[in-house]
Amino acid sequence: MMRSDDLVMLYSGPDQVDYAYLSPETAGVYQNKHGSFQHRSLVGKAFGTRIRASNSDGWVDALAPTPELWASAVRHRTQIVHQLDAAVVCFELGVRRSSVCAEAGTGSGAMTGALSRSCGSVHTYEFNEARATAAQGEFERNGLTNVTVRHCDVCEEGFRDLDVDSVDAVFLDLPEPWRALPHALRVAKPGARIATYSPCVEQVHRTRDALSTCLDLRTLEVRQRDFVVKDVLLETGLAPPAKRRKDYQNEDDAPRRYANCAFLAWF
Amino acid sequence: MVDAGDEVVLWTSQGTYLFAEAKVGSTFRWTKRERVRVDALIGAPFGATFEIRGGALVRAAPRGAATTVEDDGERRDNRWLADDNRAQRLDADDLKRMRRDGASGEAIIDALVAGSDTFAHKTQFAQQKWLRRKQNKYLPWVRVLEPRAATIAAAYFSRGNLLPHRVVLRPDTVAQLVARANARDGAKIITVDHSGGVALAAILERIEPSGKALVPHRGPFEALRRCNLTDLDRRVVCFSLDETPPPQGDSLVLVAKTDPIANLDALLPLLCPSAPIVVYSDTVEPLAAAYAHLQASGLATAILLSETWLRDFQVLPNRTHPTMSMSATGGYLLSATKIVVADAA
Ligand SMILES: C[S@@+](CC[C@H](N)C(=O)[O-])C[C@H]1O[C@@H](n2cnc3c(N)ncnc32)[C@H](O)[C@@H]1O
Repeated sequence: MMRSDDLVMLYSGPDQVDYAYLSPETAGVYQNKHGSFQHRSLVGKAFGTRIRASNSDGWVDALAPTPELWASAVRHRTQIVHQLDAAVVCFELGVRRSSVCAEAGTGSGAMTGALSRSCGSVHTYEFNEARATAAQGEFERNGLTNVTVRHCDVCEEGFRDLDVDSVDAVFLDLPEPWRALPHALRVAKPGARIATYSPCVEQVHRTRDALSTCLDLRTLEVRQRDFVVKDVLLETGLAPPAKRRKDYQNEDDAPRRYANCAFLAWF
Repeated sequence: MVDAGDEVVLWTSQGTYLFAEAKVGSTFRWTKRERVRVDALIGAPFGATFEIRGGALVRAAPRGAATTVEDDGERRDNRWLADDNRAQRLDADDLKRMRRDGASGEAIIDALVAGSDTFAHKTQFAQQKWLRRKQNKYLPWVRVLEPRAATIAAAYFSRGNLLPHRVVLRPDTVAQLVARANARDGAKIITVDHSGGVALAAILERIEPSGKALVPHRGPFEALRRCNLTDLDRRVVCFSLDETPPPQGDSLVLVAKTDPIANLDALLPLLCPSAPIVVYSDTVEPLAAAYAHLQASGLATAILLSETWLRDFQVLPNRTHPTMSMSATGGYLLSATKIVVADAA
């Protein structure tokens, strides 16, 4: 059930995911190109309700927050780790409730959300003070109580306040992971898993060198290909079909319908 | 640390996975004729390396760390190489004889180096690569891995051809599955799992300590035993569709050999609104039909049909490239979120 102050994800299409903290008392309104939606009309309904706009035929789906939805709605203060990569990183790190995780940098906090869902605790580090403060504010407001944000340069100061051999998983998404790795290896328990995320192959080289004492190194790339599903009508005949639809005399003549064809939306 | 009685996964120098039980006197099959005793596993830390010597595991120094090979600057190439497979003077019979006479792996490798006409002409890098390949074969070693969900998924995937009656999931697909299902502490996840428990193992790893997997059939889920999961009766709860009141789920995961539309029709009513739905199939057509079905039902939003693409890389100085063989498909995922439509009032 949605209540006042709740974080609600507002979905009206894959490219339009927003969020709101419900404030019916102050006559809160969510507005997008499909119409306007009074917060009052959400309160008391179940998460997962499709809501009609008050001024049009438009609708929006009011969904419970998940790290995936949050990552598509969050205001980008930096590049973020998208859900596709976040899913693989979390799985390969093997994070679970008993895991303590160290992350740098926090950035927009998208990855932190995915780690927070699975870990016992997440210690996230960011050297840009404004980003650290903004992220901390969002984590508190969104109830990510197992996350601690520290404003600190991990390449210079290391993972402040973490003991030697104390973390089960490390995730690094910053420009020079190889400079943070010696510090990360100090706080990592023997057997801990470490993941780094870099766009450029030159970064990967330097990172692999900094991991030369580690076992089972693996470098991989994942991508997602989305499909569109639609019905396809195909006329019969060896000549190209006429521009305009013909009237069909009988059934045999009619174009064939192929239901539910899937094709790649992009590559 | 490996305790007596633990199930473990062994990663071998040949790049394969084996399952074993760490019990005094217990063995695993290594070759057609050779079984290997596992006693040395007990008490070793996860990640420890063992050589196979005289039918038993023997603790050894770590292997397989990243190797950095300096370019020695010498120019050697294979302009002298005859492509006639005669570069090696030892043949299969010679090797068989050496092995039968009890020659050590080191002796066999020395003989292979001496018998090779081309070894001396190889670059230092190529020599190391050649040696490493021979060592992996004639001085085999294994590493003991903690049986977490990712390890189990990788092991099952690499042995997939042995499991024709199972859904075989590529590990990165399992990763997407548990993420899109929003598997988390406390969640009740309705799960149809025909992968032998690989999907369930990943779900259970994410929903501990208080979440539950609600399953409409009893196994087989032998992958769960291989993860050393205890307390399974509390965490995996079997239900029947005619129960009253029916159970309620926070997410739905279908990894089934059976029809997705029929499964969705049966199980969607058990989901609370806003519940994520994730359906796997190794062919796209059933999911395209299920996509249209969900869309027409008006019961779901954020419907997505996708496939993931995965590529491993060899990373070495001046020799970085995607690995030569990659898996062509990791199957397809259909995901959505259940909704209800607000009353007109
Ligand atoms: C690409 S962003 C991380 C995005 C984040 N993974 C997400 O999903 O939102 C990289 C961040 O690392 C921070 N950073 C870079 N170098 C750092 C350092 N040495 N110590 C701490 N933070 C650092 C940057 O300020 C930036 O916010």
